[in-house]
This record gives sequence, C-alpha cells and structure tokens, in this order.
Amino acid sequence: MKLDRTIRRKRKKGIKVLGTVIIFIVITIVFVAYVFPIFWMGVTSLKTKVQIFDPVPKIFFKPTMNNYKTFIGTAEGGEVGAGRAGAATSFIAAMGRSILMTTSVTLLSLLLGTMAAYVLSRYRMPGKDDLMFVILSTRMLPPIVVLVPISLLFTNIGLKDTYIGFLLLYTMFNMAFSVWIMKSFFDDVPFSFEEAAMCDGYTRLRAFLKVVLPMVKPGLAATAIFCGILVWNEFLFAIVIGTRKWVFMPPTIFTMSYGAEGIIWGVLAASSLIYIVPVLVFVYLVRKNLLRGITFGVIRG
Amino acid sequence: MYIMSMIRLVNLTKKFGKTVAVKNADLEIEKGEFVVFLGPSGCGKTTTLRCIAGLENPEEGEIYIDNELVNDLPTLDRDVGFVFQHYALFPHMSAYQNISFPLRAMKHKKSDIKKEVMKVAELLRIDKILQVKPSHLSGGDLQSVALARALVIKPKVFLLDEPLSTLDAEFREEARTMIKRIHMEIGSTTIYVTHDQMEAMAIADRIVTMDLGEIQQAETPENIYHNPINMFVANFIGSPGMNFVDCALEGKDTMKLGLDGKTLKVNEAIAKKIHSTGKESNLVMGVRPEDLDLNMKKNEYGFPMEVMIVEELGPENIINLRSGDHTLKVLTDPHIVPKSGETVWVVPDQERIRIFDKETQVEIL
Repeated sequence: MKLDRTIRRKRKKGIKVLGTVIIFIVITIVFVAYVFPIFWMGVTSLKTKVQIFDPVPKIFFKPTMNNYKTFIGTAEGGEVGAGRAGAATSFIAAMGRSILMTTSVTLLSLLLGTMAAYVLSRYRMPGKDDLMFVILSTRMLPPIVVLVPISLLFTNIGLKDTYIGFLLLYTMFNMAFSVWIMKSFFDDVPFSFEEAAMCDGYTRLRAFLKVVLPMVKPGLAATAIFCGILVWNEFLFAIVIGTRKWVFMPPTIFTMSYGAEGIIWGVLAASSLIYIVPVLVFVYLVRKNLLRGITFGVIRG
Repeated sequence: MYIMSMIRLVNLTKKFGKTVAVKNADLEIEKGEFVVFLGPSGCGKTTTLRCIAGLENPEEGEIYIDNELVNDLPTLDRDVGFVFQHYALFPHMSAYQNISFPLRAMKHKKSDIKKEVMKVAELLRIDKILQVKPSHLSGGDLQSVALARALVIKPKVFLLDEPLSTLDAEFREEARTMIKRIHMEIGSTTIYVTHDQMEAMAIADRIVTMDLGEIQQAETPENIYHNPINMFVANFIGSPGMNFVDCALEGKDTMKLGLDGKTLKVNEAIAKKIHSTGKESNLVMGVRPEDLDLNMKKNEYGFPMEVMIVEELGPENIINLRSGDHTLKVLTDPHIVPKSGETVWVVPDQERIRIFDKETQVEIL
C-alpha cells in the first residue's frame, strides 16, 4: 500500500517534470521562430558583401562595422547607392522626421480618439451605432485604393510633402482604431465612478481626468503602441506624398539599400536593425500599462 | 459639529422615456432625521435618492435642500455625501486616497486633509487599512471606506443607496449597527434606500414606503407597522406580511369571510365602525400573523382551518393554514406545534383587525 503510494507519487512528479519540459520546448520553438529573423538581420549587418553571399554561412566570422558607418558617412569603399553623397545625413534626418511624425500623430490620435470615445461611451445620442459604423468603415478600404485620389487632392490643396498633410492623413488612418479601442475601455468603467467623483465635489471634466483616465491607462498604452507602429511602418503614402522635404525612414531605407548592382543586403540589414530599435524601446517602456486587469474588476458585486 | 439641514420634495416627477419612475412625490425631511426609503425593486426609491443628489434631473417638481431650491444646482454644489450600492471606490487609489479625494477637490492643506481623514477613519475603525487598495479589501472594509469618503466632507445630507445589499449576511447586521451608531454620533440628515423591511424597521426614524413610483406612507416604524395606510404597505412591512381575507358584514355582528363561506363573529364596536363608513361589502380584513390565536376547540370568535405546514424557527413558529385555495400564516409561541392535517380554530385579536376597501386597497378602519 505504502509502496504503491510512493510509486504513484513519483509517477505524478514525473508527469509534472515532463509537462514543464514540454512547455519549455514549445516556448523555445516559438521564441526561436520569432527572434531568428532579427538575429539573422543582426548577423548580416555585421558581414561584408562576400561573407553574406557565402554559400556555406560561417558561424564564426570577422565582423565589420562598415555597414553601420554608412549612416555616419565614413564607410570605406562605399558601394554604389549607399555610398552616394548625403546618404548619411539623409538617413539621420529621416529618422528624426519619422520620430517627430510618429509622436505627433500618436498624441493627436490619442487626444481626439479618447475624447470621441468618451462621448460615444457616455452620452445618449441619436444614431450612435451608425456613427460608430461610419468611423469603422474608414478602415474598410485597402489604403492603396485611395492613394491616387489623396495624392492628387494633396497636390491641389498644397498639403503634399508637408508636416500638416501627413499629420492629418495618418491621424485619419488611426482614428477608427483609437475610437473603437478607447470606447471599449470606457464602456468597462462604470458610470458610478464619475457620479461618485461629482458627489465628492468634482466637475465632470475633473472627474474624467482624475478618475476615468487613470483607469483606462491600459487602453491608452495599447492605442499608443498600435497607432505609433502604424505610422512608423507606413511606406506607401510616405513614398508617394513625401517626395522631397518629408521623407521618412521606410522610403529612405529602401533607396539606400538599392545600388546599381541590386540590393545591398548589409546596409539593408543594418538600417532595418536601427529602424526597429525605437519601437522596441517604446513598447518596453509602456509594457507595464498593457497589463489589463491590474485596475479592472474591482467594483465588488 | 455637523450643519443640520432639511430636505423638501414638492411634486417630484421623474420619467425614463415613457416609464414613470417617480410620480408626484411630496416629502419633508427634518434636520438630523434618519429616513429610510423602502419598497420593492423598481419602485423609484433609488431614483428619488439620485434626484436629491442631482444625479438625475426630474421632469417636474422642486427639490429643496436647506430651504434652497437645488433643481438647477449641479451635484458638486449640493453638498451631499453619497454611498453607492457597489461602493464605486476608485481602484487606482488606496483607501487613504479614496477618502481624501473629496477634500483634494477643495484644495485643502495637506496636513488638514490628513487630520480629517484620520478623524473619520477612527470613527469608522478603518485607520489600520488606509494604505491598502480596494482590490485587497474585504466587503465590510470596502463598505466602511465608501462611508468614510462620503462622510469626510461633512455633507449637509448623507445619502446611502442600498449600502448593505452586497455584504454577506453575517456582516450585514454589524454594518447596520455601525451606520446607526455613526448617525447618532454625527447627527447628519440621512436618507437610506433599501428593499429589506427588517433593515428599515431596525434603523429608521421614519420609513417612506414606495410602490410603482409613488410614496405610499411616510411614518415611524411603529406607526407604519400598526397602522398601514393600504394593503401594499401592510403586506410589505412585517415578516411574514399581513394576512388578507375577503369579507363582508352581514347582520349585526357577523362577518362573511371569503373562505368557502365561513363566518366570523366580531364585537359590536367594530361592526358599528364598519356601519358608520357606509361600506359593508367588498371589504378585505387584514390581520398580522402574530395577532391570530390558535384554538383546538370551537370558538365563536374564530373560524376553522386546516394545518398545512409548521415552520419551527426557534424563538417562534410559523403555522401555515389552509382552507380551500386560501392560506393564512400564523406566528405562535414555539411550544405550539399542531400536526399537519389537523383542524384548528383561528381567533383574531379583535382590536388588531384592520379593514381595507377591496377596490382601492386603502385602509378604512
């Protein structure tokens, strides 16, 4: 009897260990699948052209920083395209513009989206559902369909290649998303919180700022990340509308990595790696706020 | 210490679309009074409370707080403390921050805020949990924090919307006593909404019973229990509620009952009174379960009924009686345990018989 039990216990323990091992293996596979491209990009960015095209990739090789030097304008034996005059300055300037535009659009989308979503969530109004549908419908067409009309429109009204033009365009793209996400978060906050604040001597606006807004932080973080990434990665409109003054990172990487001999893989890898760093930093900074549930579900029933 | 105040409702009406939530409510509440709004769910008691707080705008009527018309005054200027049914404590703030929240609205000095919070925390005995966030507090503590947040500004009027309904049964009585104790200590004018008549009887200075949006009766617990104005109040107050039997006066002192033609002899005084109202038929007799006596022998001032179920509760027994489809409940001493199926004679206390008009359901005697 007793022996039996110990055996069973051992078996149980064995199953537990086995489970942990399986989970570990699965996580490893998923992790590798996601991280490998980035790893490969990193490795490629440190190779010379010859090393990149080596039919048998070497695990150990002599890394070169030459690809990165392109961006500070000290690359040796510059390949055509990457080495062309002004490549370095144009890359850094493009990065600055991308960061500026992403930040502006994200802030504006959050501001407008939050205000619109709050009103849609809290106030009774005729045709609210239809309005929500109309807002969503702005995302139903693939953007490329409206590319030519918008490009022509922007040329005609002088918004082409301007800061305001891009700000309006990208904010418009983001509005549907930010309104819908923020509305669902506001819907989860019972109205009695605002009522309680008003009983405590707060105006509606202050109740919103002091009570409701802190409670939808996870929503703000999620919206900011999605809006930010959408603008940061946008290529199509950037290359068609931003021809001279407002050239962003994606088109710049594209033009920099194309030489007379085709794609310059080393530079492409290096610039892409630099390109994803700001996004990683941003997501890392707001990751805590993404965890929904910390602040939700405390209204006791 | 607390500024007393008076609430006056004049012809208050609140509609939600086509449904009328509160209908022509007239009510005066004195300074320092503890008033309970009592009624079944959907009777408009919470809506009335929310109108007083300014959380709802009434269609008609006037609301006065301290003789000032407050209809167009926003909630924040009405100087009311409100405790919500589900507390509505802010989850991102600690208990201390929650309680100090109303004080921070008025930009007090930090040291003053701390003093006030500590004072009210001691009153409610929650000074040990001030740094804890609501998600880590028990139901009773959440309750106390919500009370503290409403009390800390020393409001003119203290409004509680079913504050105990989410508590476990064991904490309920404790919390009820606490609320009563606080009221006695600070003497603020309090309105308390509940659907639990026992709770209302236990703590109210005055009970306002409501049904279908209308105020039925506003009286002290004692008066409302013994002199209910109509059948609704009579039935709603008391557990079990009042027994009703259709009846009509026949001859000088005989009542014909709606119990398969059974009759009951009543004393002359009652018969005379019924005569004097000019209405002798289409009446309803109401008797509280504790005002009915059980007799094993025939009694001319009683009528026979069959024992159905005996519920032994400890301090008292509830005897369920039957005659045809009609049932009566009788509250007796614990040693009276008739067998089911047995026939007993039910003798009402003549002094305590109430007579209602069957059509209007209003008490006429």
